[in-house]
Amino acid sequence: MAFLACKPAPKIIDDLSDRSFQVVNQNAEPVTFPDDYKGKYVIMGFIYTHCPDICPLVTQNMIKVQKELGTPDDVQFLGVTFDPKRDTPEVLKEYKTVFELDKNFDFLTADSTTISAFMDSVRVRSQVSFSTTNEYGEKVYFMNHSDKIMVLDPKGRVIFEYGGSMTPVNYIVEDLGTVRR
Amino acid sequence: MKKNFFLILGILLLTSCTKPKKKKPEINPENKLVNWARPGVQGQMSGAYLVYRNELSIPDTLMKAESPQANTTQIHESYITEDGLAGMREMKQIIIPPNADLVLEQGGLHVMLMNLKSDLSFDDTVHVTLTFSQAGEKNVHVPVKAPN
Repeated sequence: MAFLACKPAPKIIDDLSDRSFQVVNQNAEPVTFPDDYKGKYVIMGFIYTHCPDICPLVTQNMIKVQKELGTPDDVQFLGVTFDPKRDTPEVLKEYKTVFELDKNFDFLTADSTTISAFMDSVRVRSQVSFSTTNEYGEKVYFMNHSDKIMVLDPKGRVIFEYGGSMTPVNYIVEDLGTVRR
Repeated sequence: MKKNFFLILGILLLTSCTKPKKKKPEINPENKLVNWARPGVQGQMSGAYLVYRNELSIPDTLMKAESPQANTTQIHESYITEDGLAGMREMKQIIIPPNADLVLEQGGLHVMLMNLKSDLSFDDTVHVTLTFSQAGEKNVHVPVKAPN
């Protein structure tokens, strides 16, 4: 009884259950977010693959959480790009390959309009910060962006949010442990 | 008796529901790594991290970084913008005081390897040449590692 009393319902930060975003994963398979993940906890970070420093830290933190949890089937990990122009499914597939990620770890992208709406719904901001010219004379741009990882419950509701790159992994694992049965 | 039972039960519920104190934030262990680079895909980006000590008794300045494995190599810095976003900017020159370390680490200064010429896989080695105003060219070799 006392044990049950220790599992209070977490505060709902955002309810995404009535949203429906048509996106694709790194295999170009259609995904409806969040419907296709209902019934699972979702740990979701926001990245762009041209970011070599902060975004890989976000990805690494999610990898650590997954390992810490023992790669459970009831927890889905998602990296969602806010740079759909460059982060095509093919690019995301390569990104996933290079990190040697598990099957329950997917990357999502979509057309720019859908991604903008998606990012608005999760309060993730991004903007082009500066560009540089590569050896071919092409402009390569970089982005300022929110640094965030969030946890959704099996009903598609945001229940925890963290700074994505610097939050100690044990915080996320412990919080998830308070609600996951 | 019945009254005592409910009193004890109440105390148990109250104490067991007290949220445990969270541990003091730890420094992410990956930030303790030195001399390593991220895996990367041909045509995309990677970052290299290292510590270089200026052993001179005068200040030195890092002027540029080059790598034969990337089409463009720059020194970048990750930082938090005034409105709270994570950002990155190019650093043209970095002054290192005498007998001090230049620390290139995750979430801070790093060697930005842009448009990789080939994939960087685990256990590959990344070669970086740093050019300093006083010490001249210094070659550094860092392994590709998973930081976690």
